Amino acid sequence: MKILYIISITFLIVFAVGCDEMQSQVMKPMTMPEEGGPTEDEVVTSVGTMKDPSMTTDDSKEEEPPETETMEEGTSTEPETMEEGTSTEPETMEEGTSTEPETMEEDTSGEPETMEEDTSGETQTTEEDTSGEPETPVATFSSASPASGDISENETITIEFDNDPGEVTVNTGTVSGSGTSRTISGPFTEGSLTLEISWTNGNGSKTLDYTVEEDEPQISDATFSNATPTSGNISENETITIEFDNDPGEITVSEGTVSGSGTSWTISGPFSVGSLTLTISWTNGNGSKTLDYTVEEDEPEIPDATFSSASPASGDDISENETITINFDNDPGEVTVSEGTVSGSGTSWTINGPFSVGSLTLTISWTNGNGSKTLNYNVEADAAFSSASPASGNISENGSITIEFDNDPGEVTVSEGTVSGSGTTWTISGPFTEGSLALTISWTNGNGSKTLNYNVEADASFSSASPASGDISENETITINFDNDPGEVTVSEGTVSGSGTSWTISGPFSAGSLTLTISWTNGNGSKTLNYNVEDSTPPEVSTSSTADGAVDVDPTTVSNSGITITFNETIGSVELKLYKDDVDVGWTATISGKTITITKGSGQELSHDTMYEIKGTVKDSAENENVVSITFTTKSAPVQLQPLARGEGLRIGVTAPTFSVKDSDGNDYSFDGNSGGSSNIVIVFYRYRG
Amino acid sequence: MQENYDDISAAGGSLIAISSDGITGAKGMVDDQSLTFTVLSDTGKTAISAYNVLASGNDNIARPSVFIIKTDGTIGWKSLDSQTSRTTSSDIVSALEGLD
Repeated sequence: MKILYIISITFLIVFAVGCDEMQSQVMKPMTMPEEGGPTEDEVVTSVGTMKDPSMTTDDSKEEEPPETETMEEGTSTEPETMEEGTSTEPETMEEGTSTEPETMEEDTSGEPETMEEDTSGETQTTEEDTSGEPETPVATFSSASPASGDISENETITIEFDNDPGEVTVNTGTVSGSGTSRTISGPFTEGSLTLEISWTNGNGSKTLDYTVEEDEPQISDATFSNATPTSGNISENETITIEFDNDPGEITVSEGTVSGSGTSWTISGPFSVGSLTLTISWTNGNGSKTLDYTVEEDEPEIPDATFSSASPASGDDISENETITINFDNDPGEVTVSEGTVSGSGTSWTINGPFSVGSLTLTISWTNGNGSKTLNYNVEADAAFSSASPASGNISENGSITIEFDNDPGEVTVSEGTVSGSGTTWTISGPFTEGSLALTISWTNGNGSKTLNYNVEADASFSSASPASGDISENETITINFDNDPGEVTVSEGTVSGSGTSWTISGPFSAGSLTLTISWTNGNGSKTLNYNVEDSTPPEVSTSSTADGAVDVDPTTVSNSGITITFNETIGSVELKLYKDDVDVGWTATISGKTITITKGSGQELSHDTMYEIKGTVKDSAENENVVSITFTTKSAPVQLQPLARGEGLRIGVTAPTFSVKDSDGNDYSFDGNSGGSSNIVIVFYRYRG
Repeated sequence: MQENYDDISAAGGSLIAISSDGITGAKGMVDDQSLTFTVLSDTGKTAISAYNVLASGNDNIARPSVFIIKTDGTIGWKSLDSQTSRTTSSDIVSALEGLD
């Protein structure tokens, strides 16, 4: 209060001494702003004004319409300072040790300025300073940049006046500047903007229309983080990945093609082979980075390979040491197999055994195209040659050779002739070329081969026989001839011998009609000759039911069954009788083929202990006669014994009686008398009656 | 007899015992004496009569007797016994060993 009181007293003194001077001073532009007040360059908020410091002392008065507006229209005759005159001192005075403003000290006229259009008699500012002091000229709006159109939210609009506009106010934004140039800075509200500008010097105003667009978000500067690879050798078509800490904006590279977004980008070749200094530039932060590489020439691109074929094909039988050929459409690169050994190059490869006998699942893998293929086979054991028949020597042109293997040989091929067969037995058939033959036999299971050497003879044909037909004797010798060596010769009857082209067939032959078949190997020929074998030998005894010289012959048995004599040929007629002491017993002989049976008549039973003789003649159908004599002796008659008394058993030596009883389990038990038994039987009769 | 059966077997004999007892009796004897050779029940006296060993004065029982039947089907040895005198096993073994 004391200070306020001092200020009030001081103001009253000043006002009383120089009211007119004071009044003229406050209308002058302030050339020396006082300490603590805003300078001309200082920003004043949009709702405020750019004021002369001497005019702002009472906030309550600021709410009233500014007098400058009425002054502009020339109806107000008093300067603002007068109306706000409750403040009797400029701010400088509040702080000042000097009680007068400097401007006031410079006023030497001692007279108040005259308001040009003041008709009220009150003190006014005038357009022309007649007091000799400089006047503030009326400012008019000259230009704006931008003057209209789209602006950003934080746009800075520069406006120009022809003179200093004094205090400039705007309805939005912030005014700054001095002299004839002011800037109006955002932020402005997005959308349509009508910017109203008012200024004090000349009390002017201006309206500008804009469209405020949303500002792009502020992008931070980007710095290079890393590259992969960061250096060293790269391929012609390498892709280099680069990273930034922020979005680099637009990126350009000295070589290659850049693409990407955000913080991660790639630079793709092709790059020139050799040393490469790769410069990367980007807009956000206006950065650049140089990377050094050595670009190596790319390997030629190899197309993927796909499996084409296999031979033998999947599903076939193969041998343990089979060679499987596989083909690809392109070079498969590295090839591996699940079993066997693979080798090859280009598109054709081979897989060699040994493979395990049995079912084989063979997996083939290759690198170009990362492919794989599974083939299934049945692996058969390798076959080895066992034998041949004939194994060597002569064979005929159209002969055949039988060969044997220890296992199924698979496919068999021969150098000459025709091979057929299955399993382990095969036949090689001619024709073969006459002469020396090296016959090579090859087979797949085990990939084996065998060479057999032969002399191939021309096929033989039957030429002649002597005799060729007709009657021959039982011991006839038949001569046969061939045009070539017949090889091995066989006949259906008789004995064949010979060599070369001439052979003989010797008897004995069976009497009667003879169909003689001759077969030979060279040419696999056969010939049939027909003869009538004349019978020239008498029938001979083959067997007799009562052998010649037999003794102990049971007369009862012989009497009951008769005597049977078998000859070696069919008997045509017989004159055989049974004699006892050269007396015909009366038995009769009958013929059946080769057999003569002599049987008794009534009352003609043989006696015991007697020698008999069968004698007489037999003839075959060819009247070849043989004299027969068979003697035998019957056994003695048995001694007649008195039967033993009851309970005395049987005599030693008699045939043991058979019987059938039950065993102790109730099963039937039969005793067969033990004739032909394997052991002696001890029969114990006992009394138990348990 | 059972005690010497092995000796009889060793001498080449196969033992058969026959009585006129029924199956039950025969079975009882086999079980009682643990016999391992064949015991036959000849209630019909078929075998007893065939070998002429019906007991004198009793048509229901056999006279104690032994016959050895050779492998040719003939009787090679016999022993006719009484109630008080029986052929011993050693006799049978000796007979078996003495056969032709």
